[in-house]
Amino acid sequence: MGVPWLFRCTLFCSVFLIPVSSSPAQVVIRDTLRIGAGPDPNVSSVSNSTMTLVFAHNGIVDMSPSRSRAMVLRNRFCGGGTTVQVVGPVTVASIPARGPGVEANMSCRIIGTSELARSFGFYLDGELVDSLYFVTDCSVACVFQGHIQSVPLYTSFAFGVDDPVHPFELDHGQTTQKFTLSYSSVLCGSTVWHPNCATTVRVIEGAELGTLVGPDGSNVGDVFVGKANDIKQLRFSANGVQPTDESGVAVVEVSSRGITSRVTFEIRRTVPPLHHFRVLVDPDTIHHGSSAQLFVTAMDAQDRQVSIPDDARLDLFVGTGFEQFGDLGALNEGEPKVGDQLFGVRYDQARSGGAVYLANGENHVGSDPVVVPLGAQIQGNPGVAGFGEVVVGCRIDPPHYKQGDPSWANEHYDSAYSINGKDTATVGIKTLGCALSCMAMAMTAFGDTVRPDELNAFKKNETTAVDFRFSGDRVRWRAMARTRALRINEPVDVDSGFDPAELDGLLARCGLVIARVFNSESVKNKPKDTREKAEKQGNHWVLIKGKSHSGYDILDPGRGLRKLSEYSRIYRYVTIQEKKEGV
Amino acid sequence: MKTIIVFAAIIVCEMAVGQEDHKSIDIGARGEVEFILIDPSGRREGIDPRSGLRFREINNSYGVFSLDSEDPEIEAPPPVIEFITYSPLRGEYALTVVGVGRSQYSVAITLAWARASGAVMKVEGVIDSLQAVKYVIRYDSTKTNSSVKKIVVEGSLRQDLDNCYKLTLLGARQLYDDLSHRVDKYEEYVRENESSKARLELEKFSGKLDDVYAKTKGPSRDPNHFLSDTAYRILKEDVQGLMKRE
Repeated sequence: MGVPWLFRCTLFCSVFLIPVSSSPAQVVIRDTLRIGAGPDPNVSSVSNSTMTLVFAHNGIVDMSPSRSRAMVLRNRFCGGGTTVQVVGPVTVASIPARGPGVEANMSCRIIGTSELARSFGFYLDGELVDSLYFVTDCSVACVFQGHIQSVPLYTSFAFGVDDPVHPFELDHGQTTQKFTLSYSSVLCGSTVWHPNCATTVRVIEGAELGTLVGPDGSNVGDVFVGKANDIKQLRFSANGVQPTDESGVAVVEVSSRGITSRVTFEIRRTVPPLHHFRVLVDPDTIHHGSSAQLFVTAMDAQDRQVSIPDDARLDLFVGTGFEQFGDLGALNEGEPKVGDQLFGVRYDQARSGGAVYLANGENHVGSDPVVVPLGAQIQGNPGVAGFGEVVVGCRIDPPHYKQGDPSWANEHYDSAYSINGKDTATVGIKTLGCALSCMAMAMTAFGDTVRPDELNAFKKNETTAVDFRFSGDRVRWRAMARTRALRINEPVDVDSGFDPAELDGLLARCGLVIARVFNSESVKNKPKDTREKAEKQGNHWVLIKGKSHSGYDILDPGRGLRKLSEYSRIYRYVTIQEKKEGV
Repeated sequence: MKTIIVFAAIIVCEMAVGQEDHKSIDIGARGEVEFILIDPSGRREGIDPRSGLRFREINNSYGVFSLDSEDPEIEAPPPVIEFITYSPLRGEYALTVVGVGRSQYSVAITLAWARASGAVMKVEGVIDSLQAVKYVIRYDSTKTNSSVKKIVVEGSLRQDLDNCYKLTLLGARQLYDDLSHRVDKYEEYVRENESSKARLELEKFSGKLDDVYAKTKGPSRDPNHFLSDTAYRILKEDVQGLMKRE
């Protein structure tokens, strides 16, 4: 603290200097010490002398009702072992709003004879902001060498940056010049402040964009408390995230004793701003009952990825008109949320696949797969949004009936007929029931639950519909529609160039296909011409239940789960699909 | 050929639409045969071994139905050549069975009009490679007006007699020569437009069949002088067909 002026006077040199009101406001300590008139100015003779301090001020007072004694002078040295003791407290009757000042009296007992510097502390609200010194010299006569000191007080301060050109503009990643804090005083201010008062610097807005940094560039954080000179060493660094728009603002406020000053830093993006979201769904094709992850990425207008705060909040939603097919789900603040709309999902969660689409709605068997739009937007702002999509197909799950299942393996297949003149009355479903078992699987999948033996009995005993019965060992496919509105097509004969992809559309609508293929195992021990004929015509029926990424999934009633690629080709096929109204 | 395939696929879609009413024609043939079907609108479906052509003009449904046998001790049943349409047209279908080898054959023709209205009609015959036998399938709105009829032509009796003999459905040589001689005379009268004499020869031929068949069925069956059930039915059908022509 600087001492604006200082002079020295002798005992009884009563010079009252009442400062003219000027800036800054100040409190003046006048050295009007009176010591008792003892002839022997020894130690004892001057004991219990009285020193009078006159506080003069220029009219600046703290009007805050909570501060009854804003200005306080305290004896800092009273106590044993000192050469000058102030006995009792310094008393100040009151601090007038205006006027020349007020005297504060204290009793002083000079113990030593040497010149000693003593001081009083000056406090604001109990906070030491300066020290006031006086000197005693009793080497010849006890002399209080007083001097006048001033403690400047201010009613306002202005916060700034030591940059004459662009003090408050910076790019993301840059750091400002050092802060400045200039003080001023006006009459009748509502409060007073001293540069040594504890003063707080706080980033009150845009804290995600940057922090305060110290002289060495170290991160100080969002809040700093110190004296004015400490604050002047600080800077603001735009070391946070990129602003969402072209630029963002960070507001830094300096405050102390009810005085505040703010500056607004404009922080410019160094990358283009958020324009929309990219929503990727993985996998992009699912079936009823399964789920897919959403990966939401912030993008600029040129479709480049941009950075936004991890805790930015997004709304995720299912496109209007597609709500019946499924829901979105996510852990939101640790709580599972499911619905057509999810509000306030953290960006870092949405970005990392923390939200999923669950195809838990309508199973639209018989219809084409549905392309469900999935959207993401900045919370409450449809202007910044993005859409992805997931293809949701229906699901159909036929059971796997093995013709050799002991439950029906020996059930007599078909009616009695002969093969090459031999009665086949003992031939069971295990031997010839591949097509029959395929039919039972398909019928059960479409809701007409039936086992191969039950279907066998039905076909044998059907008395009305000729197209539901057996025709010799030959099944009649239409029986599959006996209780359900199914579309059964006539068998289609195809050559070796047939591409199974022609069935994709039907399979995607949860149609099923019963196809004749070549089963080499059943003829491996047969004569060559039998094998060749079987390979030429096909000899076995299987059910194609769907298509997955690894190929066409087969339920083989003679074996198990297989892929169509394990067979040489399709020779003939029958399709079964749900019959939609109006179709 | 590619155009035909595309056309056939379109037809399949149309077929499925009207299946709820159970209308259908289902043809299944066993034996060393293929067949060609021509619907009332002139569309063809099937294989003609004589030309080697494959027709796919109705719905591409002509093909083989076959089953394998999962039991190595049991032979798989012989394949069936089948054709199915769920959208039959009212009118006459021409069915031509063509042999790809010498064999007996049977054709099961199922006509359905509604769930409780349908009929299974079976025809049978004997045939040799590249020979043809024609039938007319009449599909109408009711069972009463629907029918399957063999088209018996002048050479039918000769062809069937020869095939029955070669397939040992009748015998022995003496019987065949006797019957063949009668067919020769019949054909001669036909060529000479002697219809009454031709008819008389057919009656004699038919009487011979009845006589031999009765003996075959009787207690004193002669293994060298016999007529199987199949041969009897086929030849009698031919005779009746020819007599209706005369």
